[in-house]
Amino acid sequence: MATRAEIETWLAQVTLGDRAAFASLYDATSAKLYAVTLRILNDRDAAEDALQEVYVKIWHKAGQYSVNGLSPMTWLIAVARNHAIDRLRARKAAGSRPLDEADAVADAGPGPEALAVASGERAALAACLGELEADKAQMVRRCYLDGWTYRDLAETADVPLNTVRTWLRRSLMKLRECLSR
Amino acid sequence: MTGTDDTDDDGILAAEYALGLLDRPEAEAFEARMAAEPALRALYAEWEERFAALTDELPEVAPPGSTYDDIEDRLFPLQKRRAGGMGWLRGLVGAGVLVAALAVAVLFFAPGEPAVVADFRADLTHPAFDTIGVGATDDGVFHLILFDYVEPPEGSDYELWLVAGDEPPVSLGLVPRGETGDYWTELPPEITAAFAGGAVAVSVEPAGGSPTGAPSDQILDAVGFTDLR
Repeated sequence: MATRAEIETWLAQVTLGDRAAFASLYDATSAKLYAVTLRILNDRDAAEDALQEVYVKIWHKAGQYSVNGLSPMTWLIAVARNHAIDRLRARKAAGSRPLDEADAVADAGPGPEALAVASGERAALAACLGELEADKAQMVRRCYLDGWTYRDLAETADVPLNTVRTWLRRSLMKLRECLSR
Repeated sequence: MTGTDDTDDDGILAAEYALGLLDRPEAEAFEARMAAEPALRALYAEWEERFAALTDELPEVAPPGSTYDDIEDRLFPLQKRRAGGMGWLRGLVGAGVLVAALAVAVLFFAPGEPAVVADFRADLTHPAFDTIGVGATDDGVFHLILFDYVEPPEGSDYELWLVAGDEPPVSLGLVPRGETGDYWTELPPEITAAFAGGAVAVSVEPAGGSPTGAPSDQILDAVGFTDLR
């Protein structure tokens, strides 16, 4: 795993048009970003295509990574995730694929073993998600990991959209309160 | 409304933005505010960092081997790939001329070495290598200089090749082991003309170099020479 300093250096070099640095960045981060696009798009061809577009964006926008104060890896993940979500929503708008219910219930989140080996930040988040009701925690995970919208959540839970919005916003408040402890 | 309430709402709004739950007008309004409000950027960054921890549970998946080439094709449609078979390599021969107009002659200096006015230059893209320059020293002897390289893995050697015209690739020697830095080698005068419109390739060979006199299928890098004369 590349260090934060290495990724920062590569991004700075990419800003200057350094293709060798871009290759190094790709080698160090593509398996992680592919995991992100694959999870959201749930289709290998679509995920690979999205991954290509993500790295094209990274090449052109490397200089902007520090604008919002994100760590370099978080920025890369955000670029990949946002792009995959755009593609997912375009696909849904085109009506080509409905939400996959079987897939939606397959993932129960990290087991106890995964939690035991978790890094500090991940452990804190997992612990605080664990303080939420299970279905509310799952909503947060669905939104982040699968790119679900309020509409998706409402349809799956079979409640009005405003109800899930209220649920989720309350859950986020609890989450923040827990994480700040 | 008190300041505390404002902060409170913005904290949740930032989370909704990070999760991608805002509709387009809401998201654009949020982005416009972020551009002007450092405090809002900080709230957003805090959530984005928190949520990014969720990706730790996704098993990493190596993308298909062709993906990087496809990305390079999108970004640099007129240029080379970093690896591949020999067929496309032929396409590079003559390609160096395209960029010649942009290039300027470069004086290469290295400590303890004579100055060389480079006649040809190739910027390798594989992370193990930097730039290759070809030119004559003051005494008129042609040299090839490989600036910065990483030595090959145990049991193998990197071999440099000149690809020009319809001739078979000509070996330019092995990248040395046991040292890193710049690599200088003398070139026989009769091959120097072939660099014009030619390309350089780097192959991975068994220790000691290619047993066949031709490069293996494992080409790490290949770049057309830019004519600087």
